[in-house]
Amino acid sequence: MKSGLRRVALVGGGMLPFAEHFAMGWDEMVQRAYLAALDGVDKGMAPGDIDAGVLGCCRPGLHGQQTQGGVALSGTIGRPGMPAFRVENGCPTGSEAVRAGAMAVASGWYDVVLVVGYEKMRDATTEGLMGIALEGHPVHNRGETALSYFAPQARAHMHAYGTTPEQLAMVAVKNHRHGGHNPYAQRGGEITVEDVLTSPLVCDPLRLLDCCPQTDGAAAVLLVGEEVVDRYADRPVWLWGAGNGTDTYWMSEKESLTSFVATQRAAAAAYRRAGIAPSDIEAVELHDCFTINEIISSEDLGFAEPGKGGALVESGDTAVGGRLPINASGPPGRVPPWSGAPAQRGWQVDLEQRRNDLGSCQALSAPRGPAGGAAREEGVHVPDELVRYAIDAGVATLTLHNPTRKNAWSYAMEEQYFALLERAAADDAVRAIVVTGAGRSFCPGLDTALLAEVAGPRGSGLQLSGRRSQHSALLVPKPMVAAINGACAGIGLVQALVCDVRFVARGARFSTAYARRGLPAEYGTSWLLPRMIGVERALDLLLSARTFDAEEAVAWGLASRLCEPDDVLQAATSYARELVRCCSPLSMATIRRQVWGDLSRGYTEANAVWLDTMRRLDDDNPDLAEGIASFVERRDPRFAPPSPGAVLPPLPSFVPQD
Amino acid sequence: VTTATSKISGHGVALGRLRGPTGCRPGPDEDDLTMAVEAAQWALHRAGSPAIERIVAAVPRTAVNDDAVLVAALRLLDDVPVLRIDRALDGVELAGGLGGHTLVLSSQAAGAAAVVLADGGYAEISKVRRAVGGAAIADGSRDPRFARHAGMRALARELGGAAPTGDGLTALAEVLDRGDSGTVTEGTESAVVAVDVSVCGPIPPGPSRSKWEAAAHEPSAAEDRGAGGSRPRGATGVDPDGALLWRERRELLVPQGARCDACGAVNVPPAGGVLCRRCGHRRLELVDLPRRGTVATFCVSTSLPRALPGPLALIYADLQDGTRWKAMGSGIRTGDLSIGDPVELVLRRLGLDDGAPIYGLAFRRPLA
Repeated sequence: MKSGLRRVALVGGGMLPFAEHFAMGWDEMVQRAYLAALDGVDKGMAPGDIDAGVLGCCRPGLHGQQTQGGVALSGTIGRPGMPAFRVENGCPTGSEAVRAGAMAVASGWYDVVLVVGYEKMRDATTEGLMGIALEGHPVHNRGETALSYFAPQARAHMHAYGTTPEQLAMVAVKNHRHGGHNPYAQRGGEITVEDVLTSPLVCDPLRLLDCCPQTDGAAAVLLVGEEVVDRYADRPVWLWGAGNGTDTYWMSEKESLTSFVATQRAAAAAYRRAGIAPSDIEAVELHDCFTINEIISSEDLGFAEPGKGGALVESGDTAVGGRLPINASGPPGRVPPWSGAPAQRGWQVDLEQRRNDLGSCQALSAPRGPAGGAAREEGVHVPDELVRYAIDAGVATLTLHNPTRKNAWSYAMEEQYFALLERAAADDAVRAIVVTGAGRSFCPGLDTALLAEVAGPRGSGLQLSGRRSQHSALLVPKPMVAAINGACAGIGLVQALVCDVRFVARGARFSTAYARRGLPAEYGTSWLLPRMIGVERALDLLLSARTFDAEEAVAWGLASRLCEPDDVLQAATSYARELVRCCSPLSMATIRRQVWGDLSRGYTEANAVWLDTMRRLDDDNPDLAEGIASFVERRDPRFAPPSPGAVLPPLPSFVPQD
Repeated sequence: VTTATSKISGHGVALGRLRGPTGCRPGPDEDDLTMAVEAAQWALHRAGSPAIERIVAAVPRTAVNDDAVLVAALRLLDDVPVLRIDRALDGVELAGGLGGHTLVLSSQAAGAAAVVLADGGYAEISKVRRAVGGAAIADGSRDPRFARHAGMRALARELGGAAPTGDGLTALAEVLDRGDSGTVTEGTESAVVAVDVSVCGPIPPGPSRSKWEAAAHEPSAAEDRGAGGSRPRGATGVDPDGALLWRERRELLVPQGARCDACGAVNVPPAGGVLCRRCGHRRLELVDLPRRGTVATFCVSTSLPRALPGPLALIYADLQDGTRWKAMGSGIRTGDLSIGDPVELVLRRLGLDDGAPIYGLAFRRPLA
């Protein structure tokens, strides 16, 4: 989130199945979705806790309520008088309502906001639904239906990229299969490509099974600010980012007939806010009112090159079990073309999946890593964020972030931490890395909850397989600076020790911890510590597992800089910026590898590595010229990022080589 | 018998877009007015778009505002008067007497014709003659009840022309299409008018009757339902008395856009434009746009409200100046069209509301 905004968590959600709810009025649908959300809150929530409500509904006129204001929410759920308003924003109405609620919470205006989206389409006749064909400008709007926005783009996409009717049909086949496992989906089951291709043309080139049916649906979520999240949730789902983008008003003015520029803009904003890239996404729920939408949106969201959306669905990667499941919740069947509820369905289903509450959905959904997330046309939403990532002036800052557990290490945090390190390593915009902890703790070691599990009656033992080497950080070809802001022990100490330079806050306390837990010296500390502080001191710290403070750490050479607690991150960041400003990235990458590698090499061998490196660099080293020129001209150097093919000196053999 | 001479500097015909058992007939989105406008556009085109001083029209009334629609759709000056007459060839005589530039129009159920009478031109009206049979009917020597058109045929013979077969202006245009000379007649049992016309110069190109006949197509089931070109009943969503129709009257009838002085974007539609929709600049100039373009993309809907019988194509086309224009298709169905095909904007009857037609532009394939 942008600085000044607080984090927003989803603590409850509920929805109705998408269906023709002829027996239910819009008000009952809203009530039921609301109750389901309220009942879904881990620790419970009193109705009076809700500060405000946002209602999302695109076309209340379909059920005869042309002016459906916020009172349709507050006055329906037994909270007349509660602040409430309605959001309408075309197809993304439901997501926009969530975004509006999130903005209200993030800004601090409200602590708890209820967002309900619904669409009651089946109270209208088909003729009534088609009424939009007779609205607006007599020449430029006449004849338009929801389909006529998308069918011409389908044709343009097919014409420009060779996307085939079969590929469109594959979207329907896949999503029907997914829907068969979701009790909330309106349609589901096995259909074939041929079924789709032989279904009647509705709006050439789109056929009946390319289209969603008209539906009734409602969904609700409860959003709360981070300060109050503990009151409601054991396992909150954090909202990482959301974005909104628009295109031209008239479709004839669109820059592109083969993409949704609005989606591209919204996605870019959401990714930026979340600090993630499309490659970080592991599952997607997107608006797929017609099959072509999924194909074009998968391109616009960054999951396929322009024109390759058809090939993406054909590859099977977007099916459940594939690399990037799209719409694991079901078929285009259940989503009406404009949607209060349907877009929220994405949020809700996602919430359910994350919380393991929805058996069949969860069973079907692909295994998700902790860094998983879901993007839709206007939102990106990732679960528990255990490591925060920010880039400023060439410095990537990784903040271990689990304040309620004092940033204790977990397998999930580990996965996120090393994934983000990899990302920083690969990003040319990053030239130095700072590692720190949120709040007053750096990382006190493995989470005690996890330790209890490890040691319990059916103790699973420490899980070692399937994890990365704790020395993976040594693979990063960029200097790493630790800003040790507080407690640093056990596996947390290991992470600090494999950084290159350590800044410690006065008051920070350290321990190796292993000997007091019945463990050996873990993760190479028995090799590393003697090389850093000498054999006797290393043995002292490892054998006694005593606590030592920041002053002692600096005195013994375990850290080089002592700072006041409020200054430690600033000092580490300034140092890292200085590296970015003055030092050749290639030199730093090389030196980092030389020093860490030479720790296990003899002098002759180390010299050979150096000579070998020099010889390689003699051939082509623009940094040398720039380094000298900038020195002579008394200016800051302008070093280019190292070429991708740059060969760095070898690391010690215990580090898994890349 | 009277005589008047004048020159023809342009002529044109237009036929309904559907094939019927007895020739072409209008589609449900066509009527006498839309066909007259198309014929007039060809006549004006051949004449080099002279400054027309009046319209003389033998065109059945289609709407209370049809004079205004006619003048606006043809991009004539707002104060050009429309003189309504019964027989088109009377208009030829009238125009000769009044002098200056006159557009004479006629339209019947099957098609329409138009000529521009002006100085110069490629054909000459040498004589206009009349025969009146009222006395014979009055004295009982002819009984129109028993000898259908016998009197008319006799009157035509007196004038040295073939018996009238319908609209005299269409017959005149056919003579011109042949590059020929002849006498064309038009009339009733009691009165016939004959015009002697002869070609005196090269005729500028334009579609002849046979081209229109070749372009006509078999009606779809929905098109067939409305006999004689009347659309199925049902509101089109446009209130004929509403302000919207009045406010957007011009941009419905002629391809126009508002070109931005700063970024050059052509805002379509231009109404509501005090700001450029693309860049926000405040100076816009209303410009006429070309009618022809190529298809950028399109769809063909079959699932539509009753007032809009399918199949209905919605077409995005890039006009010759690069402006993208979206409109319904006229007579275009699945399989008829591809991206890159040429199309042109023509006036169509978009629908009927409370019996009043709403006119606006639609795309069709250009005549070959």
